[in-house]
Amino acid sequence: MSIGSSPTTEPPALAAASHEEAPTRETLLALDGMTVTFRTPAGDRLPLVREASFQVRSGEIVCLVGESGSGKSVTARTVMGLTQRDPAMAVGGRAEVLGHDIVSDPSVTAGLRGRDLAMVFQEPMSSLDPVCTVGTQLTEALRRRHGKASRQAERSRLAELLAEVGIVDGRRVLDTYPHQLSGGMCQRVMIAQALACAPRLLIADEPTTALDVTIQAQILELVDRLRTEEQMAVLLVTHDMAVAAELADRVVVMYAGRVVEDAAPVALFDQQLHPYTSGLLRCIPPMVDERPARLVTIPGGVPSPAALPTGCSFHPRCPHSVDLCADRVPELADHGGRRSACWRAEELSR
Amino acid sequence: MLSLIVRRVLIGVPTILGVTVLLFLALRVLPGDPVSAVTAGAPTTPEAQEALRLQFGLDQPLWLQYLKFVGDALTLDLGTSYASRQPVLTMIGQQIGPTLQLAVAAAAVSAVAGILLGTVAAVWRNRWPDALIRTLSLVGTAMPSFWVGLILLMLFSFTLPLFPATGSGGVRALVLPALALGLSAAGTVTRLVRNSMLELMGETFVDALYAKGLTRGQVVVGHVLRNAIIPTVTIVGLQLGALIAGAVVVETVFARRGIGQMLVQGVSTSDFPVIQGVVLVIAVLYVLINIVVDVSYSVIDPRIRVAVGKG
Ligand SMILES: Nc1ncnc2c1ncn2[C@@H]1O[C@H](COP(=O)(O)OP(=O)(O)OP(=O)(O)O)[C@@H](O)[C@H]1O
Ligand code: SF4
Ligand SMILES: [Mg+2]
Repeated sequence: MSIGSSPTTEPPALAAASHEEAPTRETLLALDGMTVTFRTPAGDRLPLVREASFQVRSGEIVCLVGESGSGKSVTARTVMGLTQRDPAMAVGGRAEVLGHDIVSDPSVTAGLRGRDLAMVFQEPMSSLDPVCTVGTQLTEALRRRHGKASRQAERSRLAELLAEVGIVDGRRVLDTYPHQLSGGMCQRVMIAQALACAPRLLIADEPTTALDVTIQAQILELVDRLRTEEQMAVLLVTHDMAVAAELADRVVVMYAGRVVEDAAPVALFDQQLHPYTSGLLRCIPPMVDERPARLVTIPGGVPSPAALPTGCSFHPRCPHSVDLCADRVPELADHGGRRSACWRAEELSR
Repeated sequence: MLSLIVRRVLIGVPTILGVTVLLFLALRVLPGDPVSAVTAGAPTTPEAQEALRLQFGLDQPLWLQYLKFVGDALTLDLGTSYASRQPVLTMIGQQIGPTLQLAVAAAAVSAVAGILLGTVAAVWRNRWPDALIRTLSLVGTAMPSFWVGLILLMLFSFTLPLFPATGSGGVRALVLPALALGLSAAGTVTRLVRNSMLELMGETFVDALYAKGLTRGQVVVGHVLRNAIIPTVTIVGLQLGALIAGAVVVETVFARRGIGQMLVQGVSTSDFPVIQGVVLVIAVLYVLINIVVDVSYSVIDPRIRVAVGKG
C-alpha cells in the first residue's frame, strides 16, 4: 500500500486485490495416514496406498506425481468413494472429503459426488457409456446439480460447457455416441461433465494426456481460472512435471503407495529432499514433437504391492541407500514446511 | 446391411437342406409304413396297397423322391397329407397361429424373468438372492419343459384351479404353457444378464457414472442394464427359434392346438408329407429368425449401427 493513502480512502480495487491474495482457505481434502488394501482371491492383503497424508485447500491445485503403479489413481478413486465399491478393498486411516469422514462412512461420498465433488478419469475412451449419446450423459450431470430444465435451455448450457473445453461444434457432439469421438474429444467431454456441477473439489486423473498442446493449455487455463475465480480445489494427477511446475501450489510425490515427498513446486524443483524426486526430475523428457513423452523411468521399476522391499521401498533403486534404508521404513517427516520420507534427507540436502 | 442379410441367407440354405435330407432318410429307414397306417383297420388287398404306394410316390428311388419334395417346396407345395388328403401347407397355415403365439409368449416370459432375475443376482452378487437365483436357473435349464409343464399343471390347475389344464382358447389357457416353455429358457437368459452386468459393473464408465452422482438404481437400470440388453435380445431372439420347436412338446402336454399336435399325429400315422412339412417350416422359421436377430442387433447397438450404416 502506498504511503500517502489514508486507510479510510483505500481504493476498492486494492481492497479486492488484498482479499484475493489471502482468501480464507478451507481444507477440502485431508488425508491423514490413509491406507487402501486389496484382498486377493487367495486371501493376501496387498497395500496399494500406505499411510498417505496430504491436504488440498480451496483455491489450491495439488499435483500428485509418481511413476506408473505408484498408487495415484487408487488414491484418487478412494477419495471419490469408488474403490470402496469393491468389497475386496479396505480403506483405513483418516480421510476427510469436504469435511466428511469417508473412512468410517464411505456412503457420504454418494451425496457429494456430482455436486461438490467431481472426477475426471484417466481412460477417456472408456469413461463414457457406449450406448448413450454424449448429450444424454452430460444432461444427467447437469440435472444432478441444477435440476431439470427445458430441453433447449439444457442443450445450450451444455454447448457452452463444451465450448469452454474447446469443442466448437458442441451441439453436434451432443448427438454423437462415444465411439464416434476421438480420445481427445472423449476426454474433453469428460472434463465438461465434471465441470458441469461446478465442483468445489475436482479430482483430475491425468486429464490432459490424450490432448494436443493447444487444447491442453486451454483446459489447464480453464482449471486455473476456476481455481482462482471460484476457489475450486484441485487434486491433479499428472506425469507432466512442467504442468506441476506451472500450476501447482504443492506437489505430492508418491512411490509404491507412499507419499515420499511433499513441497511447494519452487522449493521442490530447486532442491529435492528425496532421491526418488531427484530421479523423477532428471527424467523430465524434452518436449518431443507436440506433447511430452511419458516419464522415462529410473533404472528398475515400481515394486508391485505384492512384493514390496523391506524398509524404504525405494532402496533397491536408490543411489544413496545405506544399510538402515533396507531395515526400517522412513517416516514422512517435516523439514521446515515441506516433507520427505528419506533417512538421509537432511544429509543429502546439505 | 444388405450384404449382411445375403450372407446370413447363404449360411441358412445349407442348414435347411441338411435338416430335410436327414429327416427324409430317417423317415424312410426307420420302421413305420404309411400305407399300412392309412389302411389300418380296413380290409385291403395287396393290389390296393400297391396302388396307394404308387399314388404316394413311394415306389420311386429315394433321391428322386427327395428332389421332388425340394422342388415342390420351392413352389410352396408341401404335398398332401396321406391321412386327411389335405394340402400340408393349408393344414400348417391353420395350425401355426397358436404355436407362434405360444412361442412368442414363452420368449417374453424368458426375457422378462431372465432380465429381472439376472439383474437381482448381479446387484446382490455372492449374497443369498444371487445364490438362490443361480441355483434356480441351473435347475430351470436342466428341467425339460414338459416336466415344468406337468408341475405347473399340478400346482395351478389341479391343486389350485387358477388356469385351465387344456385347451387353446384365450389368454388364460396360454399362461401355463407359456410359463412351462419360457421358464426353462429363462435360466440361460438369467445367467447371461447376470454375467454381462457383472462384467459391465467393473468398467470405468460405471465408475464415471457414480462419480457424477447417479444413484445405484440409476446406474444399474439406466446404464448397466441398457448395455446388457443388447446381448440379451440376441439370445432371446435365437431362443425364439428353439421355442417354436419346443412348443411342439408343450402343446402335447397341454393338448393345445398347433403344429406340435399336427406333428405328433403325423408321426403316429407315418404321414410323411405332414412330418416333412412341419419340420421344414420350423427349420425355415429358425433360420429366418436368426437373420432378423442379426439385423435387429445392428439396429439396437449404436456401435454396430454406425459401422453398418457407413459400410
Ligand atoms: N482394482 C484393483 N485391484 C487390485 N489392484 C489394483 C487395482 N487398481 C490398482 N491396483 C494396483 O494398485 C497399484 C497402484 O495402481 P494405480 O492405478 O493407483 O497406479 P497409478 O499411480 O495411477 O499409475 P498410472 O500412472 O499408470 O496411472 C498397482 O500396483 C495396481 O496394480
Ligand atoms: S531412505 Fe535410503 S533408500 Fe530410501 S530414498 Fe532415502 S536414501 Fe534412498
Ligand atoms: Mg493412474
